[in-house]
Amino acid sequence: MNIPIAQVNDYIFEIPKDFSKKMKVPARFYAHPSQINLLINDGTINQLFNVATLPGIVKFALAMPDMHQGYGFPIGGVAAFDYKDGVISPGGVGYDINCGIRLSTTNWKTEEVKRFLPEIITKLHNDIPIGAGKGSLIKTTKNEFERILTEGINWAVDEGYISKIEQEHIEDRGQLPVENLSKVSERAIERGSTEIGSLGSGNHFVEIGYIDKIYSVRIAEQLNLFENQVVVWVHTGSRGFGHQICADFVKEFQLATKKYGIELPERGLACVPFLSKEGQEYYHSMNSAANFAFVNRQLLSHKIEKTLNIFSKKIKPLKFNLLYDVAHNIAKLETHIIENRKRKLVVHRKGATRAFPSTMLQGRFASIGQPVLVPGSMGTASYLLIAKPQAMELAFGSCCHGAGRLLSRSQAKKNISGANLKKTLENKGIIIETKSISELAEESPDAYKDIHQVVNVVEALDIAQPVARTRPLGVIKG
Amino acid sequence: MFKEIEHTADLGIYIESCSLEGLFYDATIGMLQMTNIDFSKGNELITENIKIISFDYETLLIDWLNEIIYKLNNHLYLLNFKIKIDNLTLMNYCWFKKIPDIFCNIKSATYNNLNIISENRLYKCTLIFDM
Repeated sequence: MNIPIAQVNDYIFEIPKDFSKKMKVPARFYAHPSQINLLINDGTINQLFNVATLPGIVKFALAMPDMHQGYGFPIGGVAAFDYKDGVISPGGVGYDINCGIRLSTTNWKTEEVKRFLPEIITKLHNDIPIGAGKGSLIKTTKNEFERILTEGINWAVDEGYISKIEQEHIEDRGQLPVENLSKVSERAIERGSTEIGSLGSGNHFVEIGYIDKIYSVRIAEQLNLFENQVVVWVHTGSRGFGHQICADFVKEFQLATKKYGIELPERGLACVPFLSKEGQEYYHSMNSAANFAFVNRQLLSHKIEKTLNIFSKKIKPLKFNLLYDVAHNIAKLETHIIENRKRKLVVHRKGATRAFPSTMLQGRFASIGQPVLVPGSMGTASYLLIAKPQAMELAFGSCCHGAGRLLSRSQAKKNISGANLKKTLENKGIIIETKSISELAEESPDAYKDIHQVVNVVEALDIAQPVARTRPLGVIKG
Repeated sequence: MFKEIEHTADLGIYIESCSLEGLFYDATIGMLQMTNIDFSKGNELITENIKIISFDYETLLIDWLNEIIYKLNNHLYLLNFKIKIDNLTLMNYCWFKKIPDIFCNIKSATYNNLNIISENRLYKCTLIFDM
């Protein structure tokens, strides 16, 4: 299909609604112009076009500058549906429900930590359950596990894994509404209860990094950030629990889509009306997986803090604080102003981060704006941004979630071996620990887009502003 | 036969075979090869009859592959299987090997553009796996 693309301004591109009768809204994407051919060739634009044909979609189908080909919806995609007339789609959320990232700060400086780093990374690698399948930091009873699914971080507060103050540093305080667990399958429960508190595999990681550049001294001071400060990134999600829920509902929706007379361009977009019985069942089951993921990241953080504390005697007493935790695979019920009218929308973010400006927030970040966490690849930089008001107008309060893949996994492996990549990174002073050296090459820095270019686009559009940049010292790859 | 196809984020394979059973067989072998799992470790063998009933062949294929991914997550590697498909019911006699420390990079088989077609006496489809 030859899709016409109109350039609205330097970084805004659009497929006009009148291109196809199937389109309910225009399809819009934010990108650096150098990326356009790549996005057309890998099918990203086609996938975005498909999203624009779904029932009840509002304003535009959208993709962020880190977008790339996914399954169903593109990665980096944002789509908002009217909660009464629109749909909810597991393909718009992804298998790893509430895959997300958190950034924690320490009071340690790079120069204090560097000589202990190999020991720290090895110890963390040994302490954290890594890889696919079973392995967890805690054992739970059925009742306790169900509390995690329904109460999310409130469970972690009760159990002493996090303080009430730090809970404010998690998107939606780490709890999404769950009315009941009746549609969560036994297999999902079985998988989840043996994987709670684990990193997983693929692009999941724990990174010890440091702040190498401050962009906004004022905001950095408000967030207690300083140059050469050691920080910790944790990237993971809802593990087999979320995958099972997604798989269960994608299957169910194959039939339900037909029942509701929804015509789909392809089966990966299976969806149902949000307010339908099936839609509500998925919404609440998905939220239980989101709660699982919030707790999963918290348990990992808690373990990391404990492990780092062992080194306190050698370095100095550790202060370990959560800066922020965000979901980047989720569908959420939110209120947005569309053409001067308040509307309740089901906002799907698949490989996109919520980015609410200060006016949309209460509590700790009401005077600053929401931190937006944008991790790069193993060998490059990552960014801490703060959401700006324009994010509401341009992106349903959303922003990019990372650098975005550039090369397929097989292409990345052809370019460099895992062993050579490990050596190259170590020569740059970055320590890598992984269970699978052969898979390491898939996550090579060359396999990702230029993170600086991605951040430049969202900054130029005034969606978010950079506050600090970090660089890796050591990475534990899932 | 199967061959890997390019996909930016995940993993894709194209499969074609002269029978539906062959398509399912090659899809399974293709997926397992893509996991790069070293199955020389471990020695305990387990056999199991797996029966899956579905409403179309695409869903039957997804269900079957996801079952094998689930087994991998339980440290069971599918060594061999006898496949039988009859009227949207799959009956496979399976030999699994228990491998203590499996590292599986594939998380799920997806419906992305999945459409099993039969033309010129060949069954064909493209599968995308979530990584």
